[in-house]
Amino acid sequence: MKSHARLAAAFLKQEERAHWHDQALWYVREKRDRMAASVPDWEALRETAQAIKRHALANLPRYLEEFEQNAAARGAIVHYALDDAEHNRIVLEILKGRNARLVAKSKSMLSEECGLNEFLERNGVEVVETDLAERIIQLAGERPSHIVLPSIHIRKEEVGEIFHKHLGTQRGESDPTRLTRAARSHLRERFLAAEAGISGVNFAVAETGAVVICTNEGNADLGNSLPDLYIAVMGVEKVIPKSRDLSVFLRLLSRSATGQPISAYTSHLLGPRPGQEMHIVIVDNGRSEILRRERFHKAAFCIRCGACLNTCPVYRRSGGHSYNYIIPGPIGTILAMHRDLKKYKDMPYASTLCGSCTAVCPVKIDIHRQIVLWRNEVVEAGYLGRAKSAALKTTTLGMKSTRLFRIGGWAVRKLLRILPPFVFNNRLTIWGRSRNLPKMPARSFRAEFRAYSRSKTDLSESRMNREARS
Amino acid sequence: MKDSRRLVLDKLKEHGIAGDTSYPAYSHPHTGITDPREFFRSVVESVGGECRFVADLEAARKCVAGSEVFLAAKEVCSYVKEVAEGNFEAEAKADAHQCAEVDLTIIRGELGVAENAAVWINADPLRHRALLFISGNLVLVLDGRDIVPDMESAYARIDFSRLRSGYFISGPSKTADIEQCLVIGAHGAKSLLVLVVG
Amino acid sequence: MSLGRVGLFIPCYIDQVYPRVGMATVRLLKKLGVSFEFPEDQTCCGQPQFNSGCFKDAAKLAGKMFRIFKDFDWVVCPSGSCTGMVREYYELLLERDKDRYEFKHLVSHTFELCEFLVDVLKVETIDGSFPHKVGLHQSCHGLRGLGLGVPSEQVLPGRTGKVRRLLESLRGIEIVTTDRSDECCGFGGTFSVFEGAVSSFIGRDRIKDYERAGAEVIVSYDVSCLMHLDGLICRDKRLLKVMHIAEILDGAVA
Repeated sequence: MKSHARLAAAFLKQEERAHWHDQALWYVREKRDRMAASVPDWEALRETAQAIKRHALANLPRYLEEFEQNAAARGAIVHYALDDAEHNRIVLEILKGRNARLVAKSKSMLSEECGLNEFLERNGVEVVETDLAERIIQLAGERPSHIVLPSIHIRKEEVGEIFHKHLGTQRGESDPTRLTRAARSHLRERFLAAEAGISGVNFAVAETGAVVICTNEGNADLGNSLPDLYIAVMGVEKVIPKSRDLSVFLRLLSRSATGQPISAYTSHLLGPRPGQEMHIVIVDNGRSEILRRERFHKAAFCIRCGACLNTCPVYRRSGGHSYNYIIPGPIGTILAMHRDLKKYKDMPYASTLCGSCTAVCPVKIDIHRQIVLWRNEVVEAGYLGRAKSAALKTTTLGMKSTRLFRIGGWAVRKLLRILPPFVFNNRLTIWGRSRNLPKMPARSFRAEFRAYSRSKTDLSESRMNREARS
Repeated sequence: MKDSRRLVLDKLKEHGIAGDTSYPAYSHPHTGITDPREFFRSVVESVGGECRFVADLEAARKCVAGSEVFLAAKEVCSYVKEVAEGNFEAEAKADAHQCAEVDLTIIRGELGVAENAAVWINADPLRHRALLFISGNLVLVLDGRDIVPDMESAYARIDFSRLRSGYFISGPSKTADIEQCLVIGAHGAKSLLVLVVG
Repeated sequence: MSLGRVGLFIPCYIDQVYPRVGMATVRLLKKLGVSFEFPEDQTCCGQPQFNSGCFKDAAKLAGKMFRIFKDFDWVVCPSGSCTGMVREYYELLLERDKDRYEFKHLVSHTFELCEFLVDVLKVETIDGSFPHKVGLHQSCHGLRGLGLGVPSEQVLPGRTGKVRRLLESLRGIEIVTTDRSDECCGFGGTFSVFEGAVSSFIGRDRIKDYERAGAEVIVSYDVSCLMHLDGLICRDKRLLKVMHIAEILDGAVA
């Protein structure tokens, strides 16, 4: 597996494309900024959202049971899954029980996390992603590069190619409206043929048993209303206490995610529609472990808006696929580390720690702080790598003793002043590959300061002497 | 299955959430909205919809009758007979799939939210809630007195006790999944007109 | 006003690579009538180690810093980043000391130079001139960590910020408006080496933004960011200059 640094460097080789990627996401961040500024109480709303999450997640068993009872009373069938494998098994069993072979699926990061599509396909169920971006990704055989804008890395000409191959659109067609129309009619036909719908859940309300799903396209809504079988899959952390809390989260979610005041459709489903069977699968899959770790528990507050990706200077310039975990960017980093510290050891280092992720997060997760804490976990586990560790150890040694620091500093400055610049400003050194080293001064600050103080003292002494004489 | 339920709930009993975990007292009214109706109209338009203020249902009827969408529609399903008769009775169909060709649906909204142009629709009276998403275009008829400034006031007015399904719809269906270009009309309605009556 | 003992905290790279920034700080403080000491024992705050995840190594250096500066009433530092290290993260490193009075005092009384001027010395304007077009680079740790300004993604009052206010008071200065007001320059400490490609790419974007806006000089309160930007500027043979704010303020004041 290649490291983020290598994958990112490869991504940046196509310079024009990298700029386009950066600008497309920056545009979303700017929309988000405008939307946030239009709400008078924005920062207070974030506070409240975090307080509700803190409360709900500290009392999860109670709220899950309340949710489950209310949802069951409305006729939904509730399942619990410990992990991804159990989640997949439950979904498959439900589908098999109703003999459903074609599923219209709406975007769900949980199902990505569990690898549901591959599992169902292996077991003879055809899964059609119905969100346009997810469908593009599915047809291209790729994985999402963003949690809200899964196909943000694909250009319209490439979508045209993919649609030409799979949907039979005209070769060379790259007009977004015409491509979207083609997808609409292709997917409409799949919707009408589907025997089951599967979607993720944005919020689950304990006091009513409602599942709430937000989409712009209306795909989740077709998927949960049209087929006679509907399965909602959700992580345990999606439960909120009251319907009123939706006002807080819905006001934050779309504004943070895409800079919209709310998504086009917000479905509140309390049990199945008449004649329908509705299942809700509640999944832990490591969330309880996240909640148990005090330093890192806030990662479980995430409402999957993707704002931290859009604002991240590194994400925008390295693309979602440069992160090896299914969820990229800052939030992906602090979620991935719980999964596999060794496998994702490079992810926390893919950050400048600028802190913008923390500042945009609608539920105020301390993302950049967690990133640096994860670096420490990587180091403590011995995964930093020999060269980097040794370099840092040596520096520490040199800094611990003031004497060594002075001598070492002098030696390095001297060396860099003597050597011709091409020795260090070249492609073989990491700094020098694209940057020049600063010109080294002859004297350190402390030496200059000493000289300065001496001259000042001399001056004031001579002044004092003069004054004394006169 | 029962085992997993117990196991999950037990695992969640222990947590490392420090600090105050009480449920917060909060209220965040949108104080920036002085004229909710006008605000509502401007946001509907900013999210790709159209909003008209009409004096009464008769005026609403004229407004719809003259609209391009109505004139082009072959199948019109109306739940507000004063506004349009319609020629498609969704209530008479056994299966929602039979509604797939409906071009225009006219239905009442219960509530309009100024801050985000969301219109609350209680779908329980409908035999086929899918109609809201499968219909090519939507006209939502809203009583002018039912526009509230923000989401907090909206949720204060919604009664969930007997509800089976309710939807906030804000503008037509849309996507920007191809190069962030906004395209109106993804899977759901390709146009949305809100008629605010009175 | 008597400030008591003021300690000058000069980050390691300023000591070794940018003595001119340290000296500008010294002269500026003198001009403003501040008497201070420079404890010669200091080396580094431990940020490179900390940011790389080597907390144990960082703790050794943090402990040294604590011992050196614990008896001062105020600590002033011409770096937002190193100040942020002390203020935000020392409590993670010095677990044993973190409840001691001296520790809490150090953390709450360590100031970046500009905020020391504004918050402690109550300087509102600088009597001097700098007739140039300036691009202000609000380094992330100072901007978000110390609150030297309001980051563009936050909805908070006081958008001008402390650094900008000081600069704006100079005669003849023009602070240019960039497309992205406060994006990271891509330096990120050891990130600049671990992820050289991304780091440089971000830096070049920043430089182009300042160039588009017509800046002659990029000014910042963190010379580490400037070292990175200047490295790119020199490599690409651009005309922009970089300056630490202490150099500008010192030069502007008679």
